[in-house]
Amino acid sequence: MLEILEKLCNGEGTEYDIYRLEKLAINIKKASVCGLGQSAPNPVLSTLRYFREEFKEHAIDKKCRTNECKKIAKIEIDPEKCKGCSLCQKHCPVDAIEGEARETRVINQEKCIKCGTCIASCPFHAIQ
Amino acid sequence: MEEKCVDQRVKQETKEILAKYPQEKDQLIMVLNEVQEKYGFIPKQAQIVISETLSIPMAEIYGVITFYSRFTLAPKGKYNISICLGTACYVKGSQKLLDRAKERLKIEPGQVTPDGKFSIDDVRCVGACGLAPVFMVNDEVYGNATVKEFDEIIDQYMNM
Amino acid sequence: MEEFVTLTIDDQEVKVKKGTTILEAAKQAGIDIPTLCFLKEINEVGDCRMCIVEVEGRRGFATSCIQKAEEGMIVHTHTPEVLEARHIILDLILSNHKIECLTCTRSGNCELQKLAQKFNVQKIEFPGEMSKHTIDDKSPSIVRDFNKCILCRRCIATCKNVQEIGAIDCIERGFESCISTTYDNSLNDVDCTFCGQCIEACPTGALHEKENIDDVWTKLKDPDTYVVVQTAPAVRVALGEEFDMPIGTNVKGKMVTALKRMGFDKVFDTNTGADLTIMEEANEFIERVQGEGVLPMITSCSPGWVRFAEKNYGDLLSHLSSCKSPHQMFGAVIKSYFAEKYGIDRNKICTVSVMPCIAKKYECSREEMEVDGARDVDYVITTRELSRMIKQANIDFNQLEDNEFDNPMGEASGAGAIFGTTGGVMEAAIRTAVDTLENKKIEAIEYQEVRGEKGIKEATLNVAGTEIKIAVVSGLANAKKMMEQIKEGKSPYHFIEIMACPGGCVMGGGQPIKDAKTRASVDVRKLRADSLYAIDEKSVIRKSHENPVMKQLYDEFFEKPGSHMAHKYLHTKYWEKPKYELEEG
Repeated sequence: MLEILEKLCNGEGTEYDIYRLEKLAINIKKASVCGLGQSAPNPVLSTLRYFREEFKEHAIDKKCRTNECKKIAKIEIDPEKCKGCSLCQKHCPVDAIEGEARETRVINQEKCIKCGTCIASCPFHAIQ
Repeated sequence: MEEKCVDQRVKQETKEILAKYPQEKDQLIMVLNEVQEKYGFIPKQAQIVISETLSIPMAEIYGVITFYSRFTLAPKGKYNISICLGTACYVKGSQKLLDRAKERLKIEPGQVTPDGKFSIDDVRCVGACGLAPVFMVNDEVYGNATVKEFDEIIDQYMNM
Repeated sequence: MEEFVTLTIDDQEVKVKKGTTILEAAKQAGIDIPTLCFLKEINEVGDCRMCIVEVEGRRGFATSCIQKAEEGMIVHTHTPEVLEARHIILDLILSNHKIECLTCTRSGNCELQKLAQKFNVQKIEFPGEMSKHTIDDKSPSIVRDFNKCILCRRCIATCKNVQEIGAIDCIERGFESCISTTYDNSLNDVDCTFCGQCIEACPTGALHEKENIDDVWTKLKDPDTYVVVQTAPAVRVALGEEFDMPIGTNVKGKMVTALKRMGFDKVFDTNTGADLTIMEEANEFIERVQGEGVLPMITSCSPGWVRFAEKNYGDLLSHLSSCKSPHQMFGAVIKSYFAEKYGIDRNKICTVSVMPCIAKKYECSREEMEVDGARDVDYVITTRELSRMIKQANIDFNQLEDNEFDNPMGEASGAGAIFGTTGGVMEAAIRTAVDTLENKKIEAIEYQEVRGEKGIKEATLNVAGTEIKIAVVSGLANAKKMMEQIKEGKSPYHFIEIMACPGGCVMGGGQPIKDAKTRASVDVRKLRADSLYAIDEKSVIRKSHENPVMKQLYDEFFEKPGSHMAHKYLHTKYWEKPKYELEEG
């Protein structure tokens, strides 16, 4: 189960993986000898039940809406909210933010290491 | 020759521990517990004596020791740092404490520093969730720990 | 009064004795529920989860190999849910199994492979991380490959509960679980006796013998080497099983032909060596009874037992007969008497033994098993290895005509033949000892008290006015009982036969492996042993000392049993060995 979840969080999962994960979790629960095996799949099964949409997003859209999955998390600057103050650019440890003067800043996704420093530094909450 | 003396001593002391319990197979864990308390690990000579006295094969004793994290085969450091990675602590960022410990002491969980002073263990819920994140040094509990506080406390132990 | 219960399995009504498991009940109804970890009376633990079934009214699945049948139970063994679960379980087992079927020694006789075929497994649904462990092949006898293990625990149950050795157990936990020894050492360095019972219990290729097939082929292909082969009695009543013949078929004739075709220069019979062992051992026993040496005397032809004794009862080794085992004795004879008499350079002779045993591989490699620089036996191959070699040589075994062992020294008595079963060595020894002590030919030579499957058999004989108490023991658990008795000074016996494998050599660690289903329903031991007793019955010569080859050997070479020459070639020594020689990791 862990390996399938990791696959999904790395952006390598497919919709078939979600189906596989559920099938595996249900059967581990049913066929296990001991109580540990019978209850360990519960977190997986309940998250599948209530957040299936997010699973699909990870698998099909390769998107993680909470940005927890570092491999597919995308930090983006909302151009409507960005005032071009350059604070984020100054704080970025890998110089991944592009833009000059009062331009709205843009994050270079290739360089971005998803550390989140820019999010914390933006006084206008323009980054997520 | 020196090793032999240590072996003899361990054998003798283990025999003394065994004598306090009924000579039954089901006493294994109780006996291992005392041996672990006494030496901080289960020496091979102790296993041999237990094997002979309780008629339990060595392979089985080794299996029991490696199954339970309570029992170790190598001594722990003078100051054993246990960092809780249980649900509450994890969500409150205890992984950062573990990373810091690994960084500073240059060892992995389960290992001991070369000078024998520190060892790291990642453990599951210690039951102090209200104080999450929690780490312990031997029996001292440090709650609501930040990485900065962790550093300060480790400094203290380093100077001891 | 037998109590019965009636239950329904897959819409079939079945009436069984109270206490029967669902698995057993299903078998009665002609329903074959798949199992992997089940080994009747040895390992009934419900570990593998393959045998799960649905029981109406119960939550989840029931483990049919453990769950006892109850009155009115309604069981379904192949609902879609059960099938899906079983399929996933098998998939998960396969996902952490080194799939090497094309070159695995168990291909064709692997319980995991059979299930994969039965379930029509096309691909692994849940591939993932696989355990990676180095293969343990340090010992001369046995190889342990954990990457093929399915953690069924059948080996542990056999070693711990049947043999009462416990050299292996499950260490670590979770994904790191591994079947290994103390401190994860090689089997060579712990209390393993190389009895090989674990191999017979293993459903996959995780445990198997150390192969010497290539070594033997190399020698056979070398025009300069004179290769001599000898076959143990237990081999001829089991070899046929590897060619789809019924269990216990005596294939001596075909076996000899096959060996000749493979290129062996001489094909001899270890039974002849067994006769020689009796000559020496009966003589040794009589000497001891008459005051020269310690009693009880214990047989020493089982190298698994000898290793057990050396590791655990190092101070009682004087009880062991100083006689070498039959194949070792015969090997020594081949490289001395035979070489001399027939003008063959003893350094160019390579002796190969076909044995039902893997401990014999260790035995022939023991330092002291040589005379004047020539190893008694150069290589030992198991019954299984021989069958593989026969197939490699493109020999159609079932079509072969029968042949006899080569002369000289091709004759063996019926007493030599029964060495392969528990009680056989004792019976053979008594036949000779009794005739010698009584100084006449005794007609009643079948000693039923030492035959049969009981682990410990006893008898009291009245020979030439003396009462002689004998015991016949098979399985190391029973050997332990005997030794503890001797240790406490309470042993009432004069002569004890000990064989490491329960049932004797016919059930040795090198014999064709029978799957759990066969072992649960067929008395393999009895079929093979009865075949040996039949050979004895049909033999013209049934006593070792009446074998003319014996007269020849003593007249022309050894002079008499126990002579200086006999001791040089046919006797050996034992040493206390450390139980563990651990490398701590």
